Amino acid sequence: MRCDLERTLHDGAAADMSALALELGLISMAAEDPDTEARIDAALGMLRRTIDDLRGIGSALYPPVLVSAGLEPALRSVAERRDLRLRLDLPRRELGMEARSRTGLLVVDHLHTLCPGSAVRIRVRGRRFVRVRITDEQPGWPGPRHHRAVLRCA
Amino acid sequence: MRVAIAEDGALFREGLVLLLEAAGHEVVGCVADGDSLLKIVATEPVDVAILDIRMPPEPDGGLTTAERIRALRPDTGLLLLSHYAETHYLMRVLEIGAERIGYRLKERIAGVQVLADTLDRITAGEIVIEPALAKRLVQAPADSPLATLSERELDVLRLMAEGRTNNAIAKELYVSPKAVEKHSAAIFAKLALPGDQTVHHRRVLAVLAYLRAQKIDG
Repeated sequence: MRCDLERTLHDGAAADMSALALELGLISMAAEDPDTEARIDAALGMLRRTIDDLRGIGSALYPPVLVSAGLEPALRSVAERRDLRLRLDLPRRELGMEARSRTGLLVVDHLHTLCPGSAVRIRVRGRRFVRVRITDEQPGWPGPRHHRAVLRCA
Repeated sequence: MRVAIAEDGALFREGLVLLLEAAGHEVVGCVADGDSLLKIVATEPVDVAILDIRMPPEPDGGLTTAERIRALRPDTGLLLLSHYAETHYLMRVLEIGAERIGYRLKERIAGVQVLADTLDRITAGEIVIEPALAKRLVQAPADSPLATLSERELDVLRLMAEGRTNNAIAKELYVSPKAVEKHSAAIFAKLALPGDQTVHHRRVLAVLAYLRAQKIDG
């Protein structure tokens, strides 16, 4: 469901807004007085910030590379954006689609709760019963926290 | 410039055609999927092919089509567009080629000037990388060797990671090309990278590979 929501956002609102940005770029070029041009450019700036916000929501809903590239690139992408130091210990063979999706979302949702600069270790094992172990150390916290989960996947 | 477009969003595709034509370019093909674009590139001379990353053939048809175009017509420039600025996409783009290639956010090319600049740099043989992504890549943790770089050296590295030449970096930072060379040498020394100033694309690749490795080790 989250994957579908992200796709709806990507193919709907985000696509329309990117097209609107092109339209504003064209109108700006045709503008004859500097005041109108400046107002169009300001509108374009506002639109870009809104698209940035949508991008953030889309990524949080469902990391865009989780389906196409796999668990590791998706987790690294989230860690990079949130300035987290990530250490991964993943199965050598990529998980099946359902297991990858559910495991990815479980871990990503946890990463979104951590403050920037946190160190996170993630270990994933199993295929039908996926075992996930997360250890995080947040700056200013007394010590590491340990989390475990088991996902039953088809 | 002769340009061909593959984008599955009709509104964006039509807007891009209008913007390219307004900028004085000739749009020789405009299609909704990678396979159709490949047919155009195979039969028509195309200076730059513009591809949406997420389009048919799913899931990332833009990347697979760009690979096929590069193999078929190595001289055709490639501009990959996406709604997302992803390091993974960037690494895939750089695997396809380190010359005449670009990766930018869709809404960021929505101006004649920026679009013209992007296409000119690609046809001149450069790599064009979305500035927001290049900036994110150089934001390193405090214990990384990148933290040893001065603010000015980080500015130079960020522009280097965007694929800018030394002259372009000098212009952007209002310093002389000699000063950029000096900063580059200091960056490479601090990061223990070979500072070959004559092989621009290898330099960018080395920097990006290094930054990527930093993220992985960190």
